[in-house]
Amino acid sequence: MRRRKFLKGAGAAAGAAIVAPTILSSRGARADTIKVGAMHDRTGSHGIYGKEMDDAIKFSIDEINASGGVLGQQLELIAFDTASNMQNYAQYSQRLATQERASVVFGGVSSASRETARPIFDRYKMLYFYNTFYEGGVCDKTVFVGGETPAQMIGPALDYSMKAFNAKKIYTMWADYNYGHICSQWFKKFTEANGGEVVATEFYPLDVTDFSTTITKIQEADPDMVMSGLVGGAHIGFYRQWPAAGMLGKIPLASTVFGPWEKSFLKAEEIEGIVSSFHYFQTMKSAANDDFVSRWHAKFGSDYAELGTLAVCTYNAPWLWKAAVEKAGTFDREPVIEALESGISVDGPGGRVSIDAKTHHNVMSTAIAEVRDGQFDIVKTNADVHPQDTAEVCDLIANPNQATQYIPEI
Amino acid sequence: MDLAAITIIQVINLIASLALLSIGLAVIFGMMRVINLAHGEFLMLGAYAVLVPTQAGVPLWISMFIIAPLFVGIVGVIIERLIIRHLYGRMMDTLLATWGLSLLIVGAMTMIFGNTMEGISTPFGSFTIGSLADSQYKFFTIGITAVVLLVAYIVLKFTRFGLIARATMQNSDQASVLGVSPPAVYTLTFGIGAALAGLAGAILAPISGVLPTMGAAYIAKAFITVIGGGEAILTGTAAASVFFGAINQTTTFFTSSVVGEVALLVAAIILLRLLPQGITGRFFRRGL
Repeated sequence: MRRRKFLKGAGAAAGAAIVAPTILSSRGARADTIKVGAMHDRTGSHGIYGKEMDDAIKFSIDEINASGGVLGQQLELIAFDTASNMQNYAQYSQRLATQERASVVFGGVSSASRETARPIFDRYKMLYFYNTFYEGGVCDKTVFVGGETPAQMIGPALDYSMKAFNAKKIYTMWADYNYGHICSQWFKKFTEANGGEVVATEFYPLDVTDFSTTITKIQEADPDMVMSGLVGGAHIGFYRQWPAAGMLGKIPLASTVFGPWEKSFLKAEEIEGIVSSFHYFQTMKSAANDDFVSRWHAKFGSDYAELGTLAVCTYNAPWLWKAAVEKAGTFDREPVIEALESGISVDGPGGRVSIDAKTHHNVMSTAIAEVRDGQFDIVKTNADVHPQDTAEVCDLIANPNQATQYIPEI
Repeated sequence: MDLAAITIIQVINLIASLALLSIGLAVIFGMMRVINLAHGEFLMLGAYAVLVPTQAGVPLWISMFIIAPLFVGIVGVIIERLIIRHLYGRMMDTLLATWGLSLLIVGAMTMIFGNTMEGISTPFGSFTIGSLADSQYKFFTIGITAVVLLVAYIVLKFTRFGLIARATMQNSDQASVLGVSPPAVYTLTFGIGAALAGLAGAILAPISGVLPTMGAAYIAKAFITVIGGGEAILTGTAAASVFFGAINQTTTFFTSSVVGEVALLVAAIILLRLLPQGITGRFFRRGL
């Protein structure tokens, strides 16, 4: 009897919990401040990427509030440090959806963390922005991606370096998880489309630190160029062992991941000449960027580490959302998505970014940089680069009921 | 031809690294029968003991050869006095105690230094054989390992301390009857084992990068090498390093690093099935 009673009670409570968010969220929107959620790995293995993202979201929301808020209402940021732990993502996503009733959530660092949070926001029908460069293919009505896809990073950089180094034979190395595997397939596709050949595709678990065999294999294969998709702290070993083996400058080295985060751990003479491509580099010369960097330094101190594309993509996302909310005239999810799909764009520190309606990704300018004396020296910029990879498979206008991630079939 | 030469150097380098990172454990586990699951953390402490002074401007060689072994050796002595000495002869209890210790050390280092990878640049330049190039640091690792093994052999075989240590490990009651103080010998031996681990960590630091959790990557390899080596700690460690190192590196070269690691583990299982007492249980039985 007792047990049955308990089950009944538990069932009712669970039912209420499922219904509750929809009832409560509309009430939340009428409150004095609008709650905005954020989840970034400030600490842990992804801390080298997450710290600037966490600071960027705080900076962005502060500036929006200082400029008068959104629709005349101030934003209240609820930012969590997810500490590179997927359980925290599950827990804080639930909390932002049910308890805090946030209007929008910005966050996620690794692809794994995005795939933990995304189904939860799908279930609660919450607007979610993911702002890390990643392997591409996310196609989800309620999700917007502010970071670069492989087409946006690899495409122009590959085109540039194949011409600059007259490279036909390319040796590739990737981190052994979904990012590396999917990127390697896009990379192969782009290389072959450019008339080149991928002579090797190797995968390394994230804890591998010794790359001497690889370096010998590369010399044996004698490629025209090496492309590194190595990720995280342990793999930085490669960027030390490559010059230690005397290879620096002998074979050109490019990377899909190498940013200020990796660079800060290495000496200038170890990384001379590495080619890398992102939406943003701090060394970009523009009035908008100079202004952004000086505002950032005024807030966080002028000794702040060199900023990367992660900070800027994270900074841009709330501004895109603000523009859409003000166009829609409401914080409700569906009109805001419709407004975002109508071609919202902002001019950020790295140049113009605009929402691509079909893929919910950003069409953005990108820059290619070569390391010179320890600095990212911008060698080429491209305006309006489309997330071509994702656009080939994803059309959320024609088929809006999607919440998936496409993987390339080659 | 160039390829063969450079591959042989890499195989010898891996053998040397294996022997170097196992030798401290061989002393603590092989000689003293203490299952030291904190061995990986001793390596990590050694790596930090070279990183921190080097960043503060101390010459690399001083921090590598003096500060790191000395610091980790002192930590080892303290740990032995506080924890391990209560647990001699209770192997399973040493396992639990050192496991807890390893978590504690990782936690403390994470609090102090944060969970971020740091590193020191690899010293020396590169060498070339024909068209192929590689890092000179490999010769350094190989040389240091040879010296360490040789010194350990001389100390254990020809010095009075070596004799007393071996005697105490074999029969501490008999040794104490002859006027030796077993607790002092145990403390010193444990400290030496820890210092050797510290030195290994210091030498690995410039190639691997330094992180509070880096020990986990080495602990399994060290145990496999020491257990695969068997009773005679020096000969055993050296023989097992040659066996596992050659298999791992050759497989890595022809396939990938993942398969190389798998091959090492498979080789360890087969070896222990055929030679349950380790290599020196059957061969080189009179070795040290």
